[in-house]
Amino acid sequence: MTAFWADALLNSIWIVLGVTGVSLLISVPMAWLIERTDLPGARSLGRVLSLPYVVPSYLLAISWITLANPSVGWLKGLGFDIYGLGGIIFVEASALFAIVFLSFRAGLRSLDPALEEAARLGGASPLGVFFRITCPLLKNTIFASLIAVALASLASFAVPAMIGSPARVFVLTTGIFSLLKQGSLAAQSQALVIAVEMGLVALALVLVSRFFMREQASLLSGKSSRPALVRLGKLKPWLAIGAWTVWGLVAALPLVVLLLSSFMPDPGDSSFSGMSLKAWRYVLADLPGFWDAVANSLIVSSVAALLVLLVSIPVALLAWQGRYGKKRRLRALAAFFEDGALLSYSLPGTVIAVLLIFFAARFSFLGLADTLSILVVALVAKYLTLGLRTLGPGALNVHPSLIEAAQLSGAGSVQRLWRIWLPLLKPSIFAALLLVLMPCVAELTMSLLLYGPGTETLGVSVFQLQEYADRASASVVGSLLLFLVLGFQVSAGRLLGEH
Amino acid sequence: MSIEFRELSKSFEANKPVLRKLSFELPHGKFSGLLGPSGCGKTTLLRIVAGLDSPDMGSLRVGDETLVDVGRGIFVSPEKRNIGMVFQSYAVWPHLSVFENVAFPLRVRRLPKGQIEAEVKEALRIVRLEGLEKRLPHALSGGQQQRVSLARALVQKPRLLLLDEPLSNLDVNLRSEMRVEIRQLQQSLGLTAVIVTHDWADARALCDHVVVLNGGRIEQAGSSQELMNSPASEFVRSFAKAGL
Repeated sequence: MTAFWADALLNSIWIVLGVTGVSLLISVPMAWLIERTDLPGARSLGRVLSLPYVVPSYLLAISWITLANPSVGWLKGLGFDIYGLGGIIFVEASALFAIVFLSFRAGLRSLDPALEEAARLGGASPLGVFFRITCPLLKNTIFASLIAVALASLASFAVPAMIGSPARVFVLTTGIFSLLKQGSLAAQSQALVIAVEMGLVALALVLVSRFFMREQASLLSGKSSRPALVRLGKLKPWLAIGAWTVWGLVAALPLVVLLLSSFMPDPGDSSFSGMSLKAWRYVLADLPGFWDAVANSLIVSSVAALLVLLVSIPVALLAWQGRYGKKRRLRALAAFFEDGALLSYSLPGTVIAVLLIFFAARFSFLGLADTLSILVVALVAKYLTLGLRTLGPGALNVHPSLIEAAQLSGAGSVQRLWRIWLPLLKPSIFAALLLVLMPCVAELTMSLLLYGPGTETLGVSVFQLQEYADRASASVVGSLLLFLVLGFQVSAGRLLGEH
Repeated sequence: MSIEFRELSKSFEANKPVLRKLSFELPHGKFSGLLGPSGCGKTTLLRIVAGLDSPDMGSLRVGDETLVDVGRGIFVSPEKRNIGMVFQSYAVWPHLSVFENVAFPLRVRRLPKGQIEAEVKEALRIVRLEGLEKRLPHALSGGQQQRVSLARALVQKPRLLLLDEPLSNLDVNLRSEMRVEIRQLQQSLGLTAVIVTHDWADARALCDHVVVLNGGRIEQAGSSQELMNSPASEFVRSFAKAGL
């Protein structure tokens, strides 16, 4: 192994450890404060805290570069420098901690409150209960979510590319990217070897995390009671300020900066008097290839989302029949699809893209290289699991008596499916559509490796604008993506909520 | 320790009071029962005694200590009350052995090892669980988990023993057996105990003193015999009758 790869490997390891560590330190206390104490505004904080997770992480990177670039950043006077390992860890953790937060919070909610209350009455202080009862009970949940964070930070490409590469800090994914850009055959086959090794590590991590998830005993109680909230007392205002500051730092600040930056076309001027619509006009009217990128992104992600549905709906039907028809084999078949999709989801985007590049080269008669189709294949491979995960539980909610009633009314199997089962599943189907569209429309890692002349997507266009140091235009396209993604997220949440 | 409630009010949602200005006393060294239909406020009352809920108004004294006085801003947190409680779901910690479950209150108090061992052993003997020290909860029956929960509540020598519908998850035979055992324990240890139940049979078998609650107010208080013989309201009459 060359010194370059030894270095890249070491950097990747540092990032994985740093991001998982920081995520643990932010998420667990925050989830506890929100679920278990009388923290003011806990409910709203819980709702908005995971906001950065749904935002593409390269948008956070752009904002932080805007703020803390040592030469032209808005905070350059304060001596911040975002470029380097520390910056990568900070920006990634600010998005990925939500994985730990959401699953730990779900764990806290599913815990029988009496388990903790009994410890209080046994004489343990609130923190004593937390460390001696709550954490040991939920330790498998915590481990599994930490592994998910480790996987995501190992796979991340955009943040290390934007924040690491300018400081000559390379990781495995950005190393593979630069090898492929060299174009020589030797470099390409080296990239393949490293990508395959990375993929194997990722698969091993998934298997370990599945072990933890299976081990996590169900701790639900039949009786739903309100847990006794810990009184924060004198610390209350300070903890509230602290918790909301964390949110401001990881979510509000970068998103506001992204929007503001799109209205500040002059790179040197960050005063409010310099605000104008110039960058917006430029992107919407004059930026070469912008509307092609919009069209490409929309086409690729809609086709991918529809294909995902085309697979997910039959699999959900299999799972449903397996469950309620007590047909073991159908259930196993559905589980096979679900596991396969989960595994390919866990592969880093870079690995999927490299594998596809070599596949397209080997079977060149398919004419896949540099087409929109190869992007669609990549997106379906990566995000099929999102469709399955939404439709599976949705389908199991359809009680068999509803279908039996239709049968007794004289409906044949096709009619039962078409007139009862599918309409009942409609909210889940639309939600799945949106949940797949969301990451697809903003996808960057795979697109950047797979795009060819004329098949640039929005993610690619943001990345290129950022590379050309056109901060304002990158922020404009980024803001558009932000609104698109948030729109999808809110609509999907509504659909799943009403279901 | 007698328990004294003064003008206790509580509502979880605005304009839907669960407790309405309750004032009454539960006697020292006796077994009291809070009885009533679901939603009458009996569980909330018990949780206020434990410190797991706090009232919106009023005060609570146990013996000569004020545990809660909203007006004076007094609230003693649950871990400082030394109150034992048996939960409806038992709340036996699944990651700890029977021994460690019962030892928990003593470990928190940092007692010496030898003493912990001796006292846990004694508590397990009282609830007749000797020999199961090393078992994990999932290897226990519902009745055995109940006993672990009881031993854990007793091991800290609490000034009060609270029981939140402890028998409702047990089958009929086990239920009457546990009633007898709990009653004998309370009498031999001279405990002040309070049970929340909607089962008239529990009240008759266990309680010296019964308080019937309805809609956050007291319908009647007295011995179960008094309540049956001379019910103060139609509600108490039909409630007692339905339980026979």
